[in-house]
Order: sequence, then C-alpha cells, then structure tokens
Amino acid sequence: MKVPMSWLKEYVDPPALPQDLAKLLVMAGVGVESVEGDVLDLEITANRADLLSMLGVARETGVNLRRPVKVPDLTLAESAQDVAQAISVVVEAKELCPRYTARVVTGVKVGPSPTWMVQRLDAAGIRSVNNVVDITNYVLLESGQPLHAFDASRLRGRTLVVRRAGPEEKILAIDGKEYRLTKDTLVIADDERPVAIAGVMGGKDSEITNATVDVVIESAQFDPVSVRRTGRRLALSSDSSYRFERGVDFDTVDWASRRAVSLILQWAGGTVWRGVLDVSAPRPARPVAKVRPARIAQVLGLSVPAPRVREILVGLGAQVAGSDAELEVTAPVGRRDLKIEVDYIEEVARIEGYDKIPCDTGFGLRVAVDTAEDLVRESVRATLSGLGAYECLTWSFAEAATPNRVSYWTDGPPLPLRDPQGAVDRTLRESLAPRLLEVLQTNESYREALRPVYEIAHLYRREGKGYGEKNVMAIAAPGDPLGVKGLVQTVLDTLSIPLDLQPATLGFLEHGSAAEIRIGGAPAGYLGQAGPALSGLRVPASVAEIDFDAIVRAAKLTHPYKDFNRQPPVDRDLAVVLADAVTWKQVETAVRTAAPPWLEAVRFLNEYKGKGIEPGQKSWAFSMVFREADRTLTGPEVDASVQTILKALERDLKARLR
Amino acid sequence: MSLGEKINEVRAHFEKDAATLPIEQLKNRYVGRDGALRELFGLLKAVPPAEKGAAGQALNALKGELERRVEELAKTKVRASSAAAVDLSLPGRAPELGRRHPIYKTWDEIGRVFMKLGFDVVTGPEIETEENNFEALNIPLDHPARDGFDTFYIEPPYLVRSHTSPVQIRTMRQRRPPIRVIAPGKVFRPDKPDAGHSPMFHQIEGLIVGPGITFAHLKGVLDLFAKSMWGETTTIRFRPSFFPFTEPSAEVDVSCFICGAKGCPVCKGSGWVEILGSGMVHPKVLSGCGIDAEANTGFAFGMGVERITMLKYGIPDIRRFYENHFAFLRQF
Repeated sequence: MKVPMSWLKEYVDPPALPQDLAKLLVMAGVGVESVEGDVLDLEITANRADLLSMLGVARETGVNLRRPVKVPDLTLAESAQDVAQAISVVVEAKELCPRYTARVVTGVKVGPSPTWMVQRLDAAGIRSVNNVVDITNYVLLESGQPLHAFDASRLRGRTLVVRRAGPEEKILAIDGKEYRLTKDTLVIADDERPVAIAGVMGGKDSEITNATVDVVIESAQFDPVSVRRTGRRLALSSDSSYRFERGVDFDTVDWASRRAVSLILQWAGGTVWRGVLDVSAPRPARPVAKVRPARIAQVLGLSVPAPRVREILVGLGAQVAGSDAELEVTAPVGRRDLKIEVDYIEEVARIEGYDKIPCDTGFGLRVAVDTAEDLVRESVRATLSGLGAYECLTWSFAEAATPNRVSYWTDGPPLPLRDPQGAVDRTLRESLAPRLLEVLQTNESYREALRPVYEIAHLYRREGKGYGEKNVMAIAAPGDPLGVKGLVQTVLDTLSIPLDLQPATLGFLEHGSAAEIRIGGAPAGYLGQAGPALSGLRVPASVAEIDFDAIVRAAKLTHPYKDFNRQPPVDRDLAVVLADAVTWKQVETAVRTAAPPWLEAVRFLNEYKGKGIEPGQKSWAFSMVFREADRTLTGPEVDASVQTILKALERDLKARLR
Repeated sequence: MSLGEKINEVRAHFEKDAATLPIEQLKNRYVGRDGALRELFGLLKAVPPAEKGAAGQALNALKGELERRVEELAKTKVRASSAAAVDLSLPGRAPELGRRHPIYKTWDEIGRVFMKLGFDVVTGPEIETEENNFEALNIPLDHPARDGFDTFYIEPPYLVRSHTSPVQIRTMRQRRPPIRVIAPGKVFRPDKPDAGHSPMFHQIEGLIVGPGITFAHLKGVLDLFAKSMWGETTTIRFRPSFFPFTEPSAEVDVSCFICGAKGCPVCKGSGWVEILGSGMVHPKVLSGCGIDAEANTGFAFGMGVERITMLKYGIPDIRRFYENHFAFLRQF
C-alpha cells in the first residue's frame, strides 16, 4: 500500500518528514517496506484491512499523534428522477452479497482526470485511465471500499442481478482475458450475461469508454471467502479483490458510493438520479466489548489509567460508554479486527507504546529436567564426534519417483508432498541412508578424504489409516561394514547397550554383508555394505540405521562401578590356520568353552592370507588375557590352558597352529 | 699452589664450563660426589691449623656459591638427552575430531539458555493435521492470514507442519498450567530454495502459560535470552505485529550484535536485527485447548534456527546447511 504524504495531508497533519512518519508507523505495528520521496510503501498485516486506505492510515497517524482526522464532507445535489426508474437490482445469492448498492449518473463527460488526481494515483501506483474510472480508483484508495462503474448504455436490459454463474458461462474481463466461470463464482449479470466477476474484475464490454454518457456506480460488500476462492481459482487478483478478501465495512459501502458520485459530478459533470438502489441484509450491529482497565494491567503488566484508555479508544474511532472499571466499547467503522476485550488490549498497548511495558523477570523459579532423549542424543553425538564422524543435516524429502528404495522401515508407498499448486515434486523420505550416502558421494566428487557421517532425524511412513514417523540414527562410512559396526558398537557401549547382530538379507545391501541390529531382542535397525543401487560412490561404503527411540529406551546413562582386578595379567597370543568359512564367533566360543574361568579376554588381532596359507584358508591371530582375582598365575599353568584351548580349536574347528 | 689459589682456579674453570657443558656434567664435575669441591675439601687436611679456619670458611663460601650457580643454571640450561632431537614444527599426532552440524549447535545453545530459565524441552510430530497447524491456532481456512503459511499437504487433513506452533497446541492439551516449555523442530514450506529460503528449516518455539503471566514477563524472558545469547550489553525492541494465535503480538529486534548497534550491512544500518515473533497467547487458543483463559494468561515466541546461525557465523546462503560439504562442516 503506497501512501503519498501529500495525499495523506488531506485528512491529517502528519509529521514533517516521511522518515518520521515511517518511524511512527513502524513502532505502531505498521510495516514500512520503503520510503521514496514523499511516498511510504506500507506492508499491511492481514488483520488491518482498514489500513488499505488513506483514511485508515490517517486515523492511525492521528491517534498516535493525538491529532484530529478530517473526513471529506458529502452533500449530493440529486435530480428529481428516481434511480429506481433507471435500473433495478436483484440479489439472488444473498449469502455471498450482504449489501449491494447502485447509483446512476447520466450525462457525464468522460475525459482526462485533473492533474492532481492523476499525480496522486500515479504516486500510489495506479495508472490513470479516464476521469470516471480514476474516481472509482481514487475512492477505493481513499476509503478502502472498491467501486465499479458500468457504462449503462452497454448493459442489456435494465436489471443488475447478483448471482452465481451458470456452468458454461464465460466473461471477457477488463484485462482482456476470457475467464471460465463456475457455479461457485459470484457474478454481476445483466439480462443476458455476466458483466463483472463480483469483487474481482469488471467485464470488458461494459467498461467506461470515452463514449460513455450514463454511468452506474456499484458499491457493495461481497463475501470474503467467496472472493478469495474465486481469485485463487482464476489466478486473478486486483486491488478490489485484495480488499474484499480482507473484508470491507457495511457502512463504508454507501459513503464511498456518494463520495464517488460527488467527485464525478465535480470533475465529469452529469446529473445524479435521486436515491440509491440498496439491497441489503439488515445492518449488522457493531460488536460491543467490555474492556476492563484492570484486565489490561493483568495482560500487559502495565497499568494504563481508564481516562487514557478511553482517549486511545475514542481516537481509534470507537464509541466508549460504561464505567471506568468496565468500559463498553463499540467497534470503530472499518475495524473488523476489533471484537473482544483482548483486541482492545492490543490497541492500548500499541498506541501507548510497547516500549512503555517494563521487562519483568519475576515469572518464578522452576527446574527444567532434561529428557532422556536429549541426554542420550547428547551422549551419542559426543561419542561420534570423538570418533571423527561429521554430523549432517539432510533434506527430509526424497524424489517423487524413488527407484532405489530402502524398504526396511516400511513396505508402503512413499508419502507424496503436494504444494499449493497441487504439484507433487517430492515425497517424504522412508530412510535416512540414501541422503547420507549422497553426502559421501558429494564429498568424494570434491576429492575430500572420506570419513564417517551421521544424522539423527525422522523418516516417515503410513501407519494404520494415518501417518507416522520414526526418529532414526543413521551412520554411513567408506569401507566395509566393520567400520560402521565399530561406530555403532562404541555408541551402544557408552550407553551400556549390548550389540546384537543377526545375519540378514536386505535387498539394498550387499548379499552376505548385512545384519539386523536387535535391541532387547527386538529388531531395531540394520547395518551392512550398501549395494550398487543405493550407493553411487566409487569406493565401497557401508550404512547403519537404528531406531533412536529404541536406543533411548534401552540406554543406561549411569551404571554401578565394578572393582577392577589388581593382579598382573598374563598375555598369550595364538595364530591358527582355519577354513575361510569359520567365523570369529565360532573361534571365540570354542576358546571360551575350553578355557579356565580365569580367561579374562579374547581379542582378535589380524588376518593373514597369502604365502604359506593355502587358498580357502586363512590365518587368524588373536590374543588372550589370563588373570585370577586373588592370586598371581604362573607361566606353566597358563601354558597348559593354552594347550587345552589349541586342542579344542583343532578338534572343533579343524584349526592348525601356525 | 695454595688452597686459595686453587679456589680461584676452580671458580674460573666453573664459569668457563658453565658456558659450554650440559647441566648434568657441570653438576658432576663441581658439586657432585667426585667433584672439584670434594677434592678441595680433601686438601683441607694439609692446611696448617692456624689457617684452617679461614680456609674452611673460604671453601664453604665457594660451595654455597657453586651450588647456587648450578641451581640457577639448571633452570636455564637444556638438559642433556640421549634421544634424537624432534622437529616440533611437524604436525602433532591426535585422532581427527568429528564435527557437529552448526544448526544443531545453535539449537543446543538456545535450548541451554531456556533450560536455565526453567523451560522443559518438548517435541511434536512433523506430520501434523490442519487442526493443529491452523484451526487451533486461530488461522481459519480461506482467510488471508493463511497467506504467510503456504503448506505441503500429504492429503487433507494431513500436512507437514509449516511452523512449530502446533507443539503449543499439543502441549496445552496434555499439560495443565503452569506450563513452561520450548519446542525445537523441523518445519516445511513450499519455497523454492535460494540464498534466503529453504523448503525445510528449523524453528524453536517457546510457551509460558499460567496465572499472572504478563507481556512484561515476555519482555523479561526475551531480554534475558538476548543477553545470554549475544552478551550483556544486548538490548531488545518490541514492535507491534500480527499473528493469529497471539494478541497482543510483537516482532522482536535485538540490538545488532555484529556492529554493536552502530549500523552495518547485517542490520541494514538500523542497528536492529529482527530475530523473533512473539505475543500473548490468544484467549481463543487457550480456551480451545481447554485452558481457562480468564484465570490464565500466557505468552509464546518463535525464532528461526537457520537465521540465528547465519547471523552468528556470517553464513550468506541458507543452502549451505543442507549440502554437507566437509569443507563447510569442518568449520564448526
């Protein structure tokens, strides 16, 4: 909304400098996009339809400066001819049109507008057309009430009908485009066809031209929702529809009509017929609110004396009655946002100034308690940071068509996301793994040394008849799955959760390199090497995804201390040759079964294949730590145990000492 | 050579050796068990009895002197080492640390400030209903107030939330006043990505509801928040605004922490940076959640995590956050 100061001065005495007016308006809650010369470009919030007019901005300026506002005087010298003899108005769709008025001016001389009007309209961003059209625009900007002028001679018949459009109806609008109408479109029609899309735009073939002599001035109130829907459906917005959507005032309808007619008589000549065609629902009562100054203090934490409250509300155009303890406030004309007490509390705060309200920190002491989720997340992130992993933040979106699905968390179809135009360009992701692998791929292409990455975020899926989401921790790292396993294991270990892996076959992971992760015996995720459909990396990469809520539930953030063994340990290493198929789990089990209870730990050291080892076999080295709690072990007794262990390996796993 | 001459000789040699010998050797040669002092004391036996007293004093003086000098030199002289010299300009050895994403760092930082002020952290789902995202927040369908809230729908009434305010609704329906919570989370808007827009970003919402809560408390909380985040000299400014779910509503500016409110490109010369939306919870919203709006009042506020992070580190483009370039992540 562009407001030239020179125009505003017509109604109120503003500050001398546009910058000062801008500052005043900003601190009253009216956004100022820019100040250029003497023109302020205002950003009006959706609640303040009244500020879409010069008079509204003048009132706002006046109440803030405690200065009076002048509203133009209107007296119409009407002719003796009754307007009802010229035309008639029928409102069929009453629910969409609470008030429709028409006045008739005959014998006008259409031509250029006076220079001052052209300049004002130009400064406000509206191009001059001719005096009659300019006057309707001028009054729209002045009062906020949209008007429309029809060339009476180009209407077919003598009746204006406000109705819903028929199924096949079309209209050629003033913008030169043809619009198809539906039964939800409110139109103004003559005897034969729609001549205007109500509240949005007039028709081309009844517009005012230089040949126009007789004019019908429409001023009406249309249903905001209907205008909004029509505008959206036709992708058509106008200064009129913008104001109708936000609501125009019942009482301003007639004022604006008379104002336009008086300007037409003054600048385009002609004669106005007596009276007005006014098809209205009963005039709605203005809302009355009880406003208690004591409540103002309760909400704001600032006492505003009753007389000052009265002064502010009267300055806004409200009628104020009642006692000082409880004011009875009738809403000002045009302020559709003022209905209940708190609406007026805001007005008092605004006009009094938010800066007058003190900063009060006496809202009471209270201890906030960390949630288990936050504590576990913090622990996990600290662990992964220490292990060199980078935390990532990736889109929750996936492509609309996802060829490579990670179907671990859901079997259902991906959830589409529809934008306001109805287009589906993306879905919600069903797994975090693809985006994390994409991160590795991006960094590979930038020739970064690859390192583990992780993210804790939601994935989305259909659940029953509705939708659900799952909080998941995902880790991706270059290399075989043992890297990712190590990270997962350390993360779980810090939370005292044992790692439980069960071999699994998952389509998106390399066959034979995948396992399901279980927590408390229940499936809680997977890890493995990404298959070619999932990973576009040049090097092998592995991923894990774990249900983060399952981790939170199982996590122990503290655990009892166990005293440690102070006896010196005895270490022995073994290297044995085994068939390729033998697993570490088998070796460890065999060792532990054969060993005395004072075998403290068995640790895998390394694998060797090559010279000296036949194909299909491998050499595994591992170390064992022996320690007894209450005595020092002797070399010979440990050696005897090692022999027993070796025999067991030879017997159970066909191992051979290397 | 008399003992006196010998003393002078030892003293002279000591000074010469002090300049060249490592401290251990110096110590051994002069004050050690087989050092020069011991040798001199051995000579004391041969001194005639009449001179013994003076000679003893002179020797003791020398002993004290040399011991003091050795101690002094030990502080300055490099100890002799059997190890080869290490080039300490070589890089040190330590595992390379991982990094935390800057958005989550800011999220944590803001969360810590509000936890100190007694706010619990609560969360809500990202897939929401129209009821929680709009209607319960006094944003009716087909109202221009929805213009600022373009939204991704899955299928009506399901959508992905366009702000964290639905968590207010969920909290007020679950808890009874007094309520004091913050709700951080992801939000979604169908915006084309550019330097300042992203279809996914993060907000942190705050809410206090209870008897006797005022706009002055809102100012108090946000003043403490701003000072805690940006330093004690930070000030805040409230401008009236409009949000359907709060009344009175306010935009909150903080004094520019880049330039100290002197005026810079970040604050566009104004000295103020817009950082928050806030206001007193609308009575319709309270009563819609089953809270007595006469006995209770409350306030809510919300801020964008990306915006605060961009301002904090001087990041010019919001898209950097979601690219996850190591060169970007490594800096945090």
